[in-house]
Amino acid sequence: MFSVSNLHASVDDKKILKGIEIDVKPGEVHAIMGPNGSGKSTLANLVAGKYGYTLNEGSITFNGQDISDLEPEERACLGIFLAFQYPVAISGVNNMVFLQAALNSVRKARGELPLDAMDAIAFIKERMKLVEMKSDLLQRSLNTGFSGGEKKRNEILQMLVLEPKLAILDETDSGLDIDALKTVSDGVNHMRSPNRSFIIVTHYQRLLDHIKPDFVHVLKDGKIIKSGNYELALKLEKEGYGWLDQ
Amino acid sequence: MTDSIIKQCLQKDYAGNHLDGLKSLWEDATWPSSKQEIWRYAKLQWLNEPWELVTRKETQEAYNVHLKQYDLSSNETDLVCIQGKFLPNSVDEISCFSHGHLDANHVRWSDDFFNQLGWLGLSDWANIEVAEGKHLDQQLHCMLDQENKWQNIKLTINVKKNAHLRLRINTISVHAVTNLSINVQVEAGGSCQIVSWASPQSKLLMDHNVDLKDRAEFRYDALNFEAAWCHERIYMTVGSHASAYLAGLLLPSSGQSDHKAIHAHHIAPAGQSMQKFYSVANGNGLAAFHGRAIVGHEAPKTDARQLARALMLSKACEVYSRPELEIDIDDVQCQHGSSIGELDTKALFYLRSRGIDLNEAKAMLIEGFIEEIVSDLDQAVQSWIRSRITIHEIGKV
Repeated sequence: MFSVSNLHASVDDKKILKGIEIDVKPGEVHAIMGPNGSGKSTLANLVAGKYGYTLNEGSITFNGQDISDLEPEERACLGIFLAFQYPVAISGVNNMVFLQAALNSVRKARGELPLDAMDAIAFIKERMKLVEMKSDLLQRSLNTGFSGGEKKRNEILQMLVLEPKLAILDETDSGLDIDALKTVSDGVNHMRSPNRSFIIVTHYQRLLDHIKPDFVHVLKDGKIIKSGNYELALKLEKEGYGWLDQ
Repeated sequence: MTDSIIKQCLQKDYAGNHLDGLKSLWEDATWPSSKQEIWRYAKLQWLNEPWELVTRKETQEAYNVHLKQYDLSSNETDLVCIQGKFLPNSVDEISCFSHGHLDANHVRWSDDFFNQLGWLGLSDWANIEVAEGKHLDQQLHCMLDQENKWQNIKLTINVKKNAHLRLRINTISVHAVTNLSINVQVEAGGSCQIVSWASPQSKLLMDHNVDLKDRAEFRYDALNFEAAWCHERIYMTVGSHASAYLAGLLLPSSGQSDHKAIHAHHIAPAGQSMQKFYSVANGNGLAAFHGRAIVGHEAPKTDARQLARALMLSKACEVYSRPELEIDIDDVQCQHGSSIGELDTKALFYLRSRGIDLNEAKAMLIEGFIEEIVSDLDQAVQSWIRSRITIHEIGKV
């Protein structure tokens, strides 16, 4: 379904990714862990198509199509979703209006009819229950004045609404309390299916207690230096990254 | 042409003599492009000395000769000024003046700047007085569509104690220039709300003086964003516990310019003033905000604020922002803020990463920016203004 091959990328001429290989099959959950500055968020942003990242070498393939030249919205319409580590607050843009616009853009790309306002509200509110999100947040400006937890819930809500084929969660657990972490994880688990894949970028094994990964990769200095299963995450939690250098 | 005219303007040193220099340039200029450039330059000069050109003592005296006062206590009256003449309106859909009649007075300006430039001035004057405790909801239409005409409209508004006036002013002057001057006095406990908007491609000079007595309230919404040119100056004195809220939206695109020069002078304790102006400039449009709040020795506990934000959507547009505070006393709260920038690339990426295409994402961000000020405007005009703003047009680069 999704693979990156020999991926080299830089930001402002600084090489960040130095030959990454990942192959994600439908239904799989891959976790990417690693110390600060190892390139985890760069990888996530690069896949989503953020400007400012230069792909120097290698390829990003989604369902057999090289997506490295596609615009961010084209990638989203193919079914790639990035849950931001720091969701952007946009004052004046109503959260509901934004969600409906995003939903209908993706539906159009899927060849589905757009939902009118009433149907869109009903559809979105149904999914809000899964992340226990307050309905008044729909009528507020997008992420403006939201707490850290509310922003992360809003990210997961967007994922639930857009129903992507590949969801990349960039440190979604950061800033969440224990209850919120479970709620957000439940939202993700609700989305798991044989046709949908996840890449979860995290520093902590606690998120993986709730969302059991099929594979765990350790990214360090722009390379994947170790891959394994959930047991690897447990070992990292207990022993840190130092032992990988030995 | 732009560069050469500005160079000529600079060479002539208008600091000392705006009129002569501009006049000679004007005579040589061709309509409309070159004259527009002169206007742009002239108005930039006025931004620095905004009161000078629009205060004409002789004209004031002429007005005074023909001064009439009308009591417009009915809340169903409308004021109509056509081609520089206030009319008792007999058209069915607009009620007549119900009290008195208006002595419309055409004054050909013999010695003013614009008449020397070949502009015929049409002038009239009216007074609105809202009696103590009364409420008046008034609409003023100013229409002038004769090419190369210049209409001067002067309104004197007196809102008596505990009275309330809501005035909506619509100006239509596509081929001409309207010079609208309003003197407002709001007495103790009274309130006055003015919403000003212009029809597309109107050309406006507006010059207002506002005097707020104790506990008076004043609200002004400047929505002349469809005008081709708009130069608007407001000089305001704020009395004890009086409050003033001035908001505006500037949306100049190619060939358009919009200037606001606001001067709030706090002359007594515990007054409040807010100046909040948002601009979105595109093409070679020009937006300028020059706000000043002066807090004198006699005005402790003043709360004076200014916020000017601007979006620049093209390389050729111009935005000037100058919020200023002049504070002569401690124990006050004053804030001023200004930001000018392009669309936020992080926000654009965020929207696009959800499948929203670039143009739609830009439109949403522009709309969101504008919404910050629109949601702050008078409730009655919010839906109207949203319907008037075509975001995709504004966002065209």
